[in-house]
Amino acid sequence: MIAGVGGIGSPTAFLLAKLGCSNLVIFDPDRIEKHNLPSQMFRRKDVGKAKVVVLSKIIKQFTGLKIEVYQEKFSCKRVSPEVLIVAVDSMEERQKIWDSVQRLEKLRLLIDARMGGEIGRIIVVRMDNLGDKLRYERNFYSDDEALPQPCTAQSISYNTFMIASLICSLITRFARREELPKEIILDTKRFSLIKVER
Amino acid sequence: MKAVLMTLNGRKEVEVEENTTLKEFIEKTFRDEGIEFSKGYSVLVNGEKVSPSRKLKEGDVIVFAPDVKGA
Repeated sequence: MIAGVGGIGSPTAFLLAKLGCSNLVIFDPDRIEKHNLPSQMFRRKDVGKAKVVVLSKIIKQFTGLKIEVYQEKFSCKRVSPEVLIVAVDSMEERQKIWDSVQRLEKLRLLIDARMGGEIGRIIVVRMDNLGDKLRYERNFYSDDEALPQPCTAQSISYNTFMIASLICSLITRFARREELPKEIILDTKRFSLIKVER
Repeated sequence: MKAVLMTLNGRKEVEVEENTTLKEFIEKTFRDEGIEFSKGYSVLVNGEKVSPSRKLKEGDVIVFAPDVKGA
């Protein structure tokens, strides 16, 4: 399940479908705007349409898979995921999602992906691990405290696809019951990647 | 004593004086690494956010993580 199908969420959904994930569910209330086109999986003709609807059509066209879509913000009332990818664009929204998923008994893995310019952070939370949950809670900061970025550097296509690829790699490893890192930090400008181990 | 510093400039072993606090280490590293912003970074010690007054220990792994928020 993916909360938010913008810069990170849209390529992640696409790549997961390519990997054969047949039970994808996506949430996003937004419609496609012109400024989304350079870094998200949408085409010029899609401007004005709902992101979730267009993305489901693209995925169906490329993979034959039919995915479940909700044109709204993520809500636990609708679904009960085992794996949740948080790809929303504010810390405030992340906090709301985190508060709401506490009561989801089936949830086993939460992956929170964040980006700014050419930098990305992917935080891994195993929901049955109290240490992971406490560490994640300490990783919240307000939107004002975040690294200052020029508005032109909010979302860069090669970075969003790099982050999406790493998320898919994590999901694959999770499915194979392999060890996951606590966090991955990357900077495509400096070609550097930090893996924070357990 | 030795600790490991990981920033987006790379990974390196650093010499840290006994009784150095995380805050003192951060201030020195920001200067040495040429990190421009005084805000917008989290510093993780062994993968965790800890108090700035925490004294560093032999073998600590210190990660400078930029606090990005977009998607």
